[in-house]
Amino acid sequence: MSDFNKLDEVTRRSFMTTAARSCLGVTIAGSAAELFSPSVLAADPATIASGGGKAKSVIYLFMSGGMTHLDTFDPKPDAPDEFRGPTETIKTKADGVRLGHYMSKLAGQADKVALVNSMTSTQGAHGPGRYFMRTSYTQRASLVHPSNGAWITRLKARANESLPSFVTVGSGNGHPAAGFFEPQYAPLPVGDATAGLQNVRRLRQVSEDQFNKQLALRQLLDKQFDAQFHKGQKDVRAYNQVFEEAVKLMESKDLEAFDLKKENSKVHSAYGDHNFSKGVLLARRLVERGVRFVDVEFGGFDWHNDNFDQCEQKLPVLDQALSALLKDLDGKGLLESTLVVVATEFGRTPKIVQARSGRNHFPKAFSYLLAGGGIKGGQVYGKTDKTGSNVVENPVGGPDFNATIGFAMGVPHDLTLMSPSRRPFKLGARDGAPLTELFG
Amino acid sequence: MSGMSAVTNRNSRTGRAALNMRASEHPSPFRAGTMIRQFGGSDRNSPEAAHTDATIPQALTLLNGQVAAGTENRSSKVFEALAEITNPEQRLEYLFLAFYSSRPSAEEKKDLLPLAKDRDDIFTLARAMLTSKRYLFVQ
Repeated sequence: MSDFNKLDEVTRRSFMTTAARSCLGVTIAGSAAELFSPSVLAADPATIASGGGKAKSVIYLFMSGGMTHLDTFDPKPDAPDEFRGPTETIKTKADGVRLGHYMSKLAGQADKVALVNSMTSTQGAHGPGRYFMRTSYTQRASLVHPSNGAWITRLKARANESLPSFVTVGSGNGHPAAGFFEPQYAPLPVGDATAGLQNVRRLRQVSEDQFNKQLALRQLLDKQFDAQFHKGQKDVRAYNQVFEEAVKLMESKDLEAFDLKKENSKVHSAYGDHNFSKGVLLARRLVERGVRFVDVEFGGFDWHNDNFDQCEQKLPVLDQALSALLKDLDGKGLLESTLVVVATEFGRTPKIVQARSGRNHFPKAFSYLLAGGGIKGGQVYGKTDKTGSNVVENPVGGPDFNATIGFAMGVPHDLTLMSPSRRPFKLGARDGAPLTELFG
Repeated sequence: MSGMSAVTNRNSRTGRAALNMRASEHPSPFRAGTMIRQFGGSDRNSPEAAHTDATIPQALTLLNGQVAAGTENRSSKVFEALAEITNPEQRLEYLFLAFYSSRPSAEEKKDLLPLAKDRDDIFTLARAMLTSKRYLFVQ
């Protein structure tokens, strides 16, 4: 046995870290990658040179149900009526960017946004579609892949010691969350943004002394259980992690981030009254305090029936909240360091189903929106045909989009990390490529 | 139980589902942020929407929520029983049987008996026991 092996784990690890950094660069495959802490993985100089790495946080707004693309970001004023319906196309502050008439407020912020009108996917059902767009991998029975938020949490050092790096707001229970990553990369789920974080203060009758005693007792009671199961069971490890984080959160001076009552009524009315709008406001408060990734879900976009009535009802909510967010971030000087995304699982059929006045699922072509985080505003990337039924220029897949998020955050989208079953995975899946042309 | 409507089984005063109701008695579909959703229950709106992950809000509920408060509540069975039993050893055994369905080991008795003698400490122990990992089923 060589002398090298006799060194303790920490010394061996730091030797390999230094050696790897100087000899091998950032892309290390295999389990060696797990030895490296996020701070060691500084953004690749090539990434910075092409305009990436400017974002410190991501606000990921997910329209759950499959948001129609023809009525929002990819309107077709010259298409026949059976594709267009009553949707009008409006011009915006930026030349070349056109929106459906329901997004009038966003039109005034169009100089900040980049539309990606060439998204395409093969997953046409809700669950698999949401999963694919969030994780870059299709659902399978063998394991759960980590969502893009968990990847960012894993690859970028924490900016706030007491708040979790990854928060989901209003998401269903099917969110992939941390997938097979260790529990410390799991998001904090906030159900209702207006209710804030519940049970965050000690019980009235419990003194600080008694509380600390209680925490110590828990460790004592679990000593034997831990000795038997800690190493082998992720669920068991998760418990310790989660309780530690919970206590840290209780003592955090940034807890008030979750209290929306701290914002004045002008701000509240600017964002809107809907629960989703409050979620977006919460996201802004969280990224102000260094939370890396906030995934806010807005449900109810599955418009098989009455597509246009629902456009009138729901799209203005998104329009108002998104525009308020962009204006707010810009006003606070946070737009450059915050990547804002509007995502969905698929689009909706361009040819209207006349009997129901609706649109069905359509993964072949749909649209996403990006703003901030170094994005050059006022541009449209990719094109669909005359009726929005096929992508004709620059198709973009889920893996490409997640690679783009990684690029904006300055983390490697092609770094391979292994699952517990020793299978390799990446943020951008096997061949996702970031859309570097979108960045200034 | 006062204030409970027979039809919706919702506390008519607060409109909140009471803690000691069965899951089937809670208003359905379960809203985000309610206890059942928080602990992984399906929203009863979409298929396969349940989960078994540990989350921070769950830990906060176990540490500071109604269940933790319930042990010291005068109308709770735990409080009643602890008030009746005066012998510290029997108190410890009661807690272990009630919460873990097992008796304390000799080592645990040695460590925890001093707590069973103090009025505040016994409730701290009860709250700590509720947050233990012993409820995890490891296959």
